[in-house]
Formats: sequence, structure tokens, C-alpha cells
Amino acid sequence: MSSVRELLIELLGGKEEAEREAWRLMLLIYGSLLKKAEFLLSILSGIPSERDITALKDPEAIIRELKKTRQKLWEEKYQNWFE
Amino acid sequence: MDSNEYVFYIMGLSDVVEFVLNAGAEVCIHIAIIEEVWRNLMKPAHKTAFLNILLSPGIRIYTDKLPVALRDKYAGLGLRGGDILIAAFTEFCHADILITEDENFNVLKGTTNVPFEVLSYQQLKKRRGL
Repeated sequence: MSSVRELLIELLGGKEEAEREAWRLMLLIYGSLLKKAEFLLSILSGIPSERDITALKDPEAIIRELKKTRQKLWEEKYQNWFE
Repeated sequence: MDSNEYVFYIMGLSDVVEFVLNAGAEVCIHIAIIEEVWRNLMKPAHKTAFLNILLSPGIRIYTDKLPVALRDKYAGLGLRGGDILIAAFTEFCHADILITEDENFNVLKGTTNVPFEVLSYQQLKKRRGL
């Protein structure tokens, strides 16, 4: 990220004003990604991590355990996701 | 893509996410799948890997409510519980393919009024001639 900023500063003239403008452009470039990240973080912050499914080595066992979570979520809230 | 595909990718058991995104496809993911995967990850490196996937420009996140008619349709086709949501969502987001290793979705194969294909990652690769 800093290399992009440095390139922008250089392209814009390499002075104090160019540095301010480079930050403005950086926000334009990364703004949409930041928005997505903020949105994701707001969603994920309310979800607990319950277990480490990666400790299982058998793919079939992983699928089975994921299905248990799916079933639990279905009972808790999936039905609210239809209208 | 179903939750198992993300987990296998994060564990290094498959390269499905790279394969699909590098093919230029857009991946639709419902918040329900995100929650299912997230609840099952504990290690920071795995959580980072999942966040990295979700932040990819080719990943589109949906939080929409789905039509009840789709719930009834996929329940009628023999799916149960949360699998109904996954199939309903796949149709809702107009996806061409549901990639899953879960054989419970095989009941949808060969069904005429299902507007997407159900493929495992291996089947998808074979389809692409790999």
C-alpha cells in the first residue's frame, strides 16, 4: 500500500501538496474495499468461533460437522431469511 | 460455493477458490455460509485466509431475504434444513453452478426445473477439461 502512495506522490510532483493529494487518491482507490471490510467486520464481530473444524482430517467428517452447524443455524435463524 | 469448499481451500486441501476466481467467475456467498464457516474456524491464520477470500473483488456477499416460494420448491425437491437455503440462494443469485462436496445436493441433479448445476470441484475441473 505504501508503494502505491509513494508512486502517486512521485507522479503528482513529490511535494507536500502532492502527498495530501496522494492520500485523497488512496482513499478513492481503496475506499470500496474499506467499505466491504467494514461491512464484513460488523457482521463477523457478532459471530462466535465455536470450534476448530480444521483439526479434523477426514473430509467426510468435516462435511458432517459443517452440516451440524448448518442445522443448528437453520433451527435458530435460517427461517428468518425467507420472506 | 458451499461452505465445505471454503474450508477445504483454507485447509490447503483444494485450490477451488483460486481456480474459480482465476477463471473470471463471480462467486456469490450468502451471509449464512459466512456464518457457518466462521463458527468453525479458530486459528487466526485460517480466519485471515477466509477474510482474504471474502475481500476478493470476485466475491459478492448477499444478506438478502429469499422468497418463501424458493424454500418450498427446494423442500419439495427433497432437500432438508439448511440445505434448502443454499439451493434457494443459488437460484436467487442466478448462479450457474453450485460447487459442493456434499452429496445431499445430488437429489437436484437431472431435475428439470433447477436452473443451476450441482458439481463437485473435481467434476467442475473435468468439465473445464482439466
